[in-house]
Amino acid sequence: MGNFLRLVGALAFIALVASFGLSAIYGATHEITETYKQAEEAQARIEALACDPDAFFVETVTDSLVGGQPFSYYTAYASEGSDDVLGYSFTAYGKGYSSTIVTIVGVDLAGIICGVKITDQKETPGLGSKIQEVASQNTIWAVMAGNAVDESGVKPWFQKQFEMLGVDGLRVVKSTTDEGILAVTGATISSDAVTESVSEGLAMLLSVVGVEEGDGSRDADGGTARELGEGA
Amino acid sequence: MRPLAELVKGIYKENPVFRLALGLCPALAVSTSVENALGMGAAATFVLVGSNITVSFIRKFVPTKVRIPCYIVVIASFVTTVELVMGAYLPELAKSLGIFLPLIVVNCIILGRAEAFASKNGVGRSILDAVGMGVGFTFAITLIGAIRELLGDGKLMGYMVFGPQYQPVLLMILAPGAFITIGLLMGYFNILDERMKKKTEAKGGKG
Repeated sequence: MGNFLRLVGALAFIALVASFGLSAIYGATHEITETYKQAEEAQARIEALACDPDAFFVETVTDSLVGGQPFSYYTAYASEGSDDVLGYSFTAYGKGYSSTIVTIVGVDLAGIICGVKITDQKETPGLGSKIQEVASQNTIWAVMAGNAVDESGVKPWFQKQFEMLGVDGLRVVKSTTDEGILAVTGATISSDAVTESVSEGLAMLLSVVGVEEGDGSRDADGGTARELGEGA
Repeated sequence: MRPLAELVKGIYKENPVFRLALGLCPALAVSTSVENALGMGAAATFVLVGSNITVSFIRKFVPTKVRIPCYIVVIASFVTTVELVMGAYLPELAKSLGIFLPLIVVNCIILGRAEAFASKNGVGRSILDAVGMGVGFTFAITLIGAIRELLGDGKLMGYMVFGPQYQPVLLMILAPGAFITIGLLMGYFNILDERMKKKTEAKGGKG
């Protein structure tokens, strides 16, 4: 019996030390991580909308009307106090293969995507993680000879595909000859997760803010994005 | 065994992937390219050293019957600590290594070395063992990664090798390519080993 208690005691002691230690570390690091994440998100919003760094974002949270849950989006103004609306931005959360993929989406006043930026994902390295890959056009020989082309401004190819698309352009395809978002080879789940979350978010955004000009590019099938008929 | 031998054994003689067949899960999942392999190797080595040190420290207090759950708690806490601290103070590093950390939990090299080595040896030797095993693991997945990236993507370190006309062998990037590569490499190292054995036997017989 005494031996049994000793076993339980040792295990309980180690678990206790571990949990107290972890909670202390979490308490010490949580705030710093959050601050960094928020700064990163703000930067991503500016990049996704391709607007000036002094653009001013105002967050709006809708009532639980749309799809049964509140929806949060940002309106971008040219500067603080200005009435000049540049566009909208929202954060899409997609359930990927092994993580929640967080995508910041920039949308112009006509309801067309200006850019997307994936800020957080923990998909399989080498497969799903390629949603963030920048494909180099340089050969290893050019790099070794020192005459590689500078590619620092090149955007990740998967995310670049979202640019200039409306709600109905957002579907995943598996062949380069089809129109749409070309899936990452071997990572259909990750590709679908990003595309679906962006598509759902865009439909919700449009149903809330409406769009300026009707060009037919935003009629989602299934009527998820009924326009309100009002200008933004 | 001499301290130096503890360090070196993990690289070839007891290579975790090719010899002990440990850590095959991350070796399969992450060896799609050299860059990923190096990232995974670095992250795994770091956690391995940390867990070996801790397990070696507590080895005398832990009752034998509950040692495995204790080691699991220690390793899981260590991985979580690394994840939290890195996210707060080294966000850039967390971005490049962060995706490998959850995969380390399924890396049985860590638990394997805790059980087979750190629980029976002192801290100094445990560190040497961890570094050796870490380097051996990194070497193994980098080799697999180089082969898979070269054939499956026509690239090395993300740069094209054969030019844009190369038609990649997609199979090599997907899971079967990993099995095929690991299998062939293991076979090759076994042949190499046998030849070396024969040579030393022949020498020993005559001498």
